[in-house]
Amino acid sequence: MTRADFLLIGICLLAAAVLAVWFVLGGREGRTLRISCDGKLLETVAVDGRGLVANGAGYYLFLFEESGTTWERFETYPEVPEGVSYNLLSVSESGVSVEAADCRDQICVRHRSISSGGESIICLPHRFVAEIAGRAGEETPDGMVR
Amino acid sequence: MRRTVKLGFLLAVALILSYVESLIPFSFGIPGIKLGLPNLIVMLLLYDQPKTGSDLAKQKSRAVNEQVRERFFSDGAREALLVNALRIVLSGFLFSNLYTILYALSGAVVSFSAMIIGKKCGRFSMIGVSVLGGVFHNIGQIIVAMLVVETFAVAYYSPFLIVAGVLTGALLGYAGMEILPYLRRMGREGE
Repeated sequence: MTRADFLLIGICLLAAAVLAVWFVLGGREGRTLRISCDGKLLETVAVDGRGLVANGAGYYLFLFEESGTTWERFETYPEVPEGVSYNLLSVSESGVSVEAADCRDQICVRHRSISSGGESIICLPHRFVAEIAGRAGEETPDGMVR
Repeated sequence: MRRTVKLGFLLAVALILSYVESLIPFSFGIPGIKLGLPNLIVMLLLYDQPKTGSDLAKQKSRAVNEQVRERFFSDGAREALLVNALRIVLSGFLFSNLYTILYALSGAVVSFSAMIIGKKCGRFSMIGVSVLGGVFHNIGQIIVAMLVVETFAVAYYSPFLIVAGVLTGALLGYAGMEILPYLRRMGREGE
């Protein structure tokens, strides 16, 4: 290994540490959960400093049809209609996670649940994003692209 | 001709590594983290050149010297690019879908460019070049994810992905250094 190698590894680790500190500091306040599809904001749920506010808890079923995207909140695990592409989002005090989806890669379903600011679950095939933004009304640490 | 055989052999190994990688559940709940095993083959091809530009330059006349200098891509780089592109397309159709191919290609293009530039500047060993490849592969994929879903929120994972890129890159670079002499010997046998 050459000196340049060590320098490169050092710079990479330093950059990672700086970014990590930046995101952790940016994500401490009360937040909102923003759910969007195709860059369009569909729904926001208020989230407190630690977990999620109880009145926003439940299951959110997002259906992607040709006529457009529709969604509904359920108290209990809902039944999913057949032949429609969907993402079923679970919001509870322990965090937000995608319970089920019919996407090809299932990356969103395997994703661990999220609870702190800046975290997100993304379903690329459906272009579906659930992210926890910074303080209510404020953007994530580095803003959003519209 | 012997070169073609070797490239075919390495392509087959790269495909097997792609398959092995798709079997290993190595994600920690964070999308985008993977071992990058097939990159080992790309690294080996980058370094396993029959004659590098500088070797040729030493041997031949000034005219050839300049001709060699003009070419940005060395033979190894062109072979590595060829094998990697074929590997992604083939493994994409074998183990996943067109969508994954495009996603993988974007990461590969960024990572390959970084490795070529890293190797060109001549200050890094194989480990350094491999680390560059790993880190830039992950950065490339984050950028594509940002463009596809139109949000910066994915950037949250960049620290994890950079560290993962450094670790996997260093390991693969070390493995490459160990394997390279054997690969070179294999090319010479039977001559």
